[in-house]
Amino acid sequence: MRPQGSWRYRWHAALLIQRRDLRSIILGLSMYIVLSLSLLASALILRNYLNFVNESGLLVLSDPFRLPFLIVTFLFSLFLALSSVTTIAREKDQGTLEVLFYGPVDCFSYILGKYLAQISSYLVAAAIYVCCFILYADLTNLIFPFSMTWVIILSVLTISAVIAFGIFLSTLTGTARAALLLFLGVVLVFVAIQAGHEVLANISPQGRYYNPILFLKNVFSFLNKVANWLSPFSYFNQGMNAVRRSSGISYLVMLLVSAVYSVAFLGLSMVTLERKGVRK
Amino acid sequence: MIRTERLCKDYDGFAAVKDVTLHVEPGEIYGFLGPNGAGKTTIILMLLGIEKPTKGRIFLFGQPLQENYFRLKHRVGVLGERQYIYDDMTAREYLRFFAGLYQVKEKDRRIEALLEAVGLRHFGEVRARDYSRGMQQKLGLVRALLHDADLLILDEPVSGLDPHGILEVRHLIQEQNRRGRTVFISSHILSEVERTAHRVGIIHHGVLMAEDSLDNLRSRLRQQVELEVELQEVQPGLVESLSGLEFVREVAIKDNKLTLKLDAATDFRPQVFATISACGGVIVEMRTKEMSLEEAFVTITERNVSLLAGSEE
Repeated sequence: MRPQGSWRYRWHAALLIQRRDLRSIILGLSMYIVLSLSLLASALILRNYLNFVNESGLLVLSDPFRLPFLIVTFLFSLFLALSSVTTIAREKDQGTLEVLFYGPVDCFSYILGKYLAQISSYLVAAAIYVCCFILYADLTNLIFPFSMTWVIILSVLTISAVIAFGIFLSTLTGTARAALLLFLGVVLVFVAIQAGHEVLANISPQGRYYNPILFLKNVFSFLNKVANWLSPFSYFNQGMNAVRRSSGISYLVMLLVSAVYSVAFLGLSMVTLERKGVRK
Repeated sequence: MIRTERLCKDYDGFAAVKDVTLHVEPGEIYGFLGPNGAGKTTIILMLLGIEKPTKGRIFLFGQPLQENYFRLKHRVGVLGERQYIYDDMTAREYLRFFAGLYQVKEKDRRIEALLEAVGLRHFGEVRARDYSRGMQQKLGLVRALLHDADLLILDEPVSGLDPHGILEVRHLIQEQNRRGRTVFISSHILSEVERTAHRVGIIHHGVLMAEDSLDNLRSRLRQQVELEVELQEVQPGLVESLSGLEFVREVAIKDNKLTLKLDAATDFRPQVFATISACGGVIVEMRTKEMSLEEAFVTITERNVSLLAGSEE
């Protein structure tokens, strides 16, 4: 049993680790490369819309910024996933994790600090994206609607789930390289399941008797449902669909699921780090 | 200050630490000695809660670490065996980060004073990754001293340092001890421990073989005392007279120097003095050759001699 004062120390340590890591992300080059590429991609999509208006004189879109925002969020979530996946494994590999634990740091404060650093880097990026999109809207006369606020809130929670998943994978391995390979392996499994499901969905089984295709279809359909709940990348898409359909309940469910997912995987990360230890 | 009770650590069936019960008293410098792979670092990691003991209990400041983890960690300064430093930070940034972690008051003043003490003040803005091994070692020591901890746990504190650096670090450790800090030094540089430690613990193959002051260790280990006597002139019949004394085991002579091997039971120097005088000899110098810590260490580890209470040789 640790006394109640522990929470004050934990919070203090978590904030310091968050500040150190955020500084490292913000002073690094990678974040700006991803920001530039994603803004360039979104600008190209908007230019396509404008070309279409020029050519046909008409563009029927309720929200022209939804797809560009989906793209920038997806690219930034990939960056954060890779960054989260390597963050703990690299520190373990370099030995700096052990030095931190010589002092008043425990698994809870450490994982919380790592998570806060990643999520705050997204908040910085989201602020930059919103400013750029408002600028785009001003330059192009396209409307940046209020409903984008819901999309931005959704993106914070779904990216939080991506980060928690990445941090969890990072605690499973001892080197940044192994962590990256594990992440790629997991993503490949998700992609294979989705591809298998879509291919099989387009094949209609023939014959009146038992057909192995039908069995495979059912298996992949089930796996696809599981993967949709396990893969944090699918949450943003599902939430966006809820916003598009103006389904408040589905939207709230996705927010809740993302939050629960984040808490569950952060908890798992703490337990894993505690069990596997902080040494190289 | 530090107390362990029957501490054990197994790694996949390999017993790295076996039933270690050690005591470090407040205000002392305790030298923790052992050959490579003896289990020193494993015990330090268990003291810090980084490794979990398979069996046994640990008390820091009289309390189990897990009961008051954060407060106790604030009272301990640690220098690890190797220095792991953030790549992207300068030495000052690195120290500011840890000063923040330990909630050090007036941290800039403290950092500057300690950097000055180890001769790194002019290198504060250099990235720590560009430091030499010795400089990194000193930086690690500054990190351990930042928060004025009551207990310092130092794993190989002078490894990688040049003679000048060793002297600086030794003075720093002694200064900390004079100010009331308890120091636990793990090392295999025996001469260094001999100079600084009040008591030592010797661990071998995961077993604590001895724990005592250096003088007590020596007296418990020696069965013979070596006495060197320099004479103005060796008188005829002197060697025979000395050999006839019942406590004298061996007499060797070279020029004007006699080397006597005596029983270690009591101090026989007065009898030796009297015998030489009776033969008309004049003593220029007489000294007892002390067993060095290195000799004690080798005796204990090579012959597996246990000097702990309740154990037999």
